[in-house]
Amino acid sequence: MKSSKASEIVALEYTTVKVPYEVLNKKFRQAQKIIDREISQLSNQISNIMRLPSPELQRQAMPAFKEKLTSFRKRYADCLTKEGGYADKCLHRLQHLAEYTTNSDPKSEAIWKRKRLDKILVDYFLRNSHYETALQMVKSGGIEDIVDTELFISGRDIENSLVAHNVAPCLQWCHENRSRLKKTRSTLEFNLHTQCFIEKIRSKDYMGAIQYAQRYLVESEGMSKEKLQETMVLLAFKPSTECEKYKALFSEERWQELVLEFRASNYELHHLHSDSLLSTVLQSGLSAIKTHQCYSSEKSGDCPVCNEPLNSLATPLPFSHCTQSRLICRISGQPMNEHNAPMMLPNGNVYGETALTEMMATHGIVTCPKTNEKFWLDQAQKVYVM
Amino acid sequence: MDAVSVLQKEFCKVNSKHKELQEGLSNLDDLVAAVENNQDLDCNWYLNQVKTELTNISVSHKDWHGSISRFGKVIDKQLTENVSFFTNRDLISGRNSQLLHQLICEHFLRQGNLELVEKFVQDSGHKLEECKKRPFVDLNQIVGSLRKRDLLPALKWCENNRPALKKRGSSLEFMLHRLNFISLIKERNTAGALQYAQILGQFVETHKKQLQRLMGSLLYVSTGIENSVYRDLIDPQHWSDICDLFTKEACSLMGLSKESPLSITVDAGCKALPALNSIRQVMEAKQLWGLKDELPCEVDLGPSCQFHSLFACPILRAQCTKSNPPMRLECGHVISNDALKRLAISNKVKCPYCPQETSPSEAKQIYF
Repeated sequence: MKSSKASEIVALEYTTVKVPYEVLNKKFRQAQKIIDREISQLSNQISNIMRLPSPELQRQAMPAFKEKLTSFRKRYADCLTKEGGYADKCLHRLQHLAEYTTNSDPKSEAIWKRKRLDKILVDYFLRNSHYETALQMVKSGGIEDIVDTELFISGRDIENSLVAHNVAPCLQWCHENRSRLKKTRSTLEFNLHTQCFIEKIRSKDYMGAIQYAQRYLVESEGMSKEKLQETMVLLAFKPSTECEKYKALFSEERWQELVLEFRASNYELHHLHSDSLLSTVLQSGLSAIKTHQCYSSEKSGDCPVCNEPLNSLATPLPFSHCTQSRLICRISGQPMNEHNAPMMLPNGNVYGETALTEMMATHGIVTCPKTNEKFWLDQAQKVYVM
Repeated sequence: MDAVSVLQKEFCKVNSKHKELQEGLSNLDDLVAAVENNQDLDCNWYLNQVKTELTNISVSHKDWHGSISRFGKVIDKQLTENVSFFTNRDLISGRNSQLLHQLICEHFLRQGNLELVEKFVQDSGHKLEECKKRPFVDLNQIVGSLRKRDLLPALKWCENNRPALKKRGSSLEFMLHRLNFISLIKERNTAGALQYAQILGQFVETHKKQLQRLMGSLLYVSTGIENSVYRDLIDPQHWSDICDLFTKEACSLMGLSKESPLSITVDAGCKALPALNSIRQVMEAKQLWGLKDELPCEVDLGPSCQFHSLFACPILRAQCTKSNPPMRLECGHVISNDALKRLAISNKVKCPYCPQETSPSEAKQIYF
C-alpha cells in the first residue's frame, strides 16, 4: 500500500514541488543581481576612499561609508529573509506530500485526499478563469499553502490589460523573464511589438509606426525577415482593406491570440501542464472504472460511470482491462471471496453468501432481486472462481 | 527510499546552506561595529577587510545556487513531469464541459457548500435548476441534526417518504427508532422504553430477530446494559453508521449514488495514473496507445472503487462477454463457454481444477 501511495505522488505531484522551486530559483537570481550591484557600488567607494591622500581625509569619509555599509547589510538581510520565505514554501509542500506517504490512518488519509481533489479543482477553475470560485474554495478548504493562485491571478491582470489593448504590463513581464523566454524561442515579445505597430497604422500615425518598427521590430531576435517584411507591407494598406492576409493582421482577434500566447508562455515558464490535471485524472479514472455493464441493463446505482453525467462523458473512453476475476455481490456491493463465498441460485444468478444469509434471516426466504423468484437458502450452490 | 524522502533530503541541503548565509550576517555586523567604536582605526586595513567580506558574501550567495539547482534536477528525476500523455485534449469541451460542470455542482451540493455553488454558477455560467438544489439543502440539514444526535428531522423525513422506503425494503426508519429505544435503555428508563416498544411493534414483520433482541435487553436495564451480552447495542458507532445509512437511503431515493461520483472518479484516476504511466514507454514504442477499446493494463482500484463483477476466464485469460458467458460446471468451478467447448472431448469434459468429469450440457450459465 505504501509504495502505491508513493507512486501516486510521483505521477501527480510534479507541479506541486516544481512551481515553488521555480519561484525560489527566480528570487535567488533577483537577489543575486541586487547583491552584486550593491557590492560593486560599495567596492567603488572603498577604492575611492583608499585613494584619498591622507589618513585624516580617509577617517572623515568613514561615517558616510558606515551608513552605506549598514544600508547594504539591511538590503542583504532582506533578500535572505525573502528567499527563506520561498524556501519554507518548498519545505511545506514536501511535508504535505510526506503526510500522505507516511500516514496510514484512514481518517487523515481521507482528509488528505479531499485536499488533493480540492487542489485539482482549484487548478481547473483558475485555468478556466473561474477566479472567484477558486479563491472561495481555497479559503473554505484550507489549502492556501498547496495551491499557486498568485501565479494565475498575476497572469489574469496581464491578460485583462491585453484585452483592454494595453501591452505595457505584458512587455514588462517579458522583460522580467527574458532569459527564460529566449530559451524557449518565444515569439511573444515580437508579437506584442507588432501589435503596437499595427495599432499605430490603424490610428494613421505612419511616421510613428516606422519609428516604432525601427526601434523595436528590427532588433527583435528569432525574427524572420519575411515576417518583418510582411508586417511592414501594412503601411501600404488601410485597416479597411479587403485583402485576406492583411485584413487578418488588422483584426481584433489578434488581441485574443496574444492573450492565449501569453497564457501558454506563462504556463510553460512555470512548468504547468498545458492541460488541467482534472481532465487527465478524470479520464484515467473513468477508464479504470468503466465496464461493459455500465452500458447495459446491469447498471449499479453507486457506480459513477453507470450514471449521468459521467456515463455520457465516458462514452468515447476505453474500458478497463481485466485478466483476474474480481467479483462484487450485486445485493451488498461487497466483494465476493473466501470470506463471502459466491453462491448460485437455481436461476443462475450469483450473489454473496453474507447477503443471502442475511435475507433469509430477516425475511425467512431468499428473493432474487433480478427476477423476483423466491428460493430457500439451501437451494443456493457454491461457485468456485479461480 | 521513496521520492518524497529523496526530495526532502536534498532540500535539507538547500536549507542548511541558506542558514549558513544568514549566520554570515554577523560578520557584517562586526565590521559595522568596528568602525563605530574605534577612533584610531587603520582605514586601509579595515577597508580591505570589508572588501574581502563583500567578495565572500557575493561568492557564497552565488554558491547557494548550486544546491538549489541540484534540488530542481532531483525534482525532474524523481517526479514525472507530464502524465497527460494519453489524455484526449478535446474531451472536456462544448457539451462535455457542461456535463463536467453539472458534476462539479452536484459535488459541492453534496458537501452542503451552497456558497461555493453560488460562486461557481456565477463564474461558469452553468445553469443550475432550483429543483436540483432543494433536496440537497434539506438532506444536509437532516444529517447535521443526526450528527448532533437529534433523530426527529430524520424520522419526519422517513414518514414523508414511507412508501418509497418500503418499496426499497429499507430498514432506515426501524434503525432510527431503535436508536431512540436504546437511548432510553441507556438512561435506565424502563417505563419510557416500554412505551416506546409500542412504536417498534409495527416493525415486527420485517425485523423480527432484531426486535426480539431489543426487547430482551429490557431484562438488563437495572443491572446495567454495559455488563450484559447486549452491550454492543450501546456502541457509539451506531450513531455514525446511521448518518451513512441515511445519506445512502436519501441519495438512492433521489436516484443518486452514495458517494460523490466526482471524488470517486478522481480517486480512481489518481490510483490508475501511476500504473498507466509505468507501461507508457512500452506502449509508445509499440504505438499501441489508443488502438484498443480497452486500457493496456489491469488497474486494481480496490473494493471501494469497484462496482461490477469482472469475470475473467481462468483458461482463456480473457474477460467473459455476452457471447462467451461464464459457465458453472457440476463441481462448482467456473470457466467460460468457449473454454468449455475447447476442453470437451466427445461429449465429456474434465474439470481443469478437480478430478470430476461431466457432460458439457450439464454446465450452467451463471450471472454475476
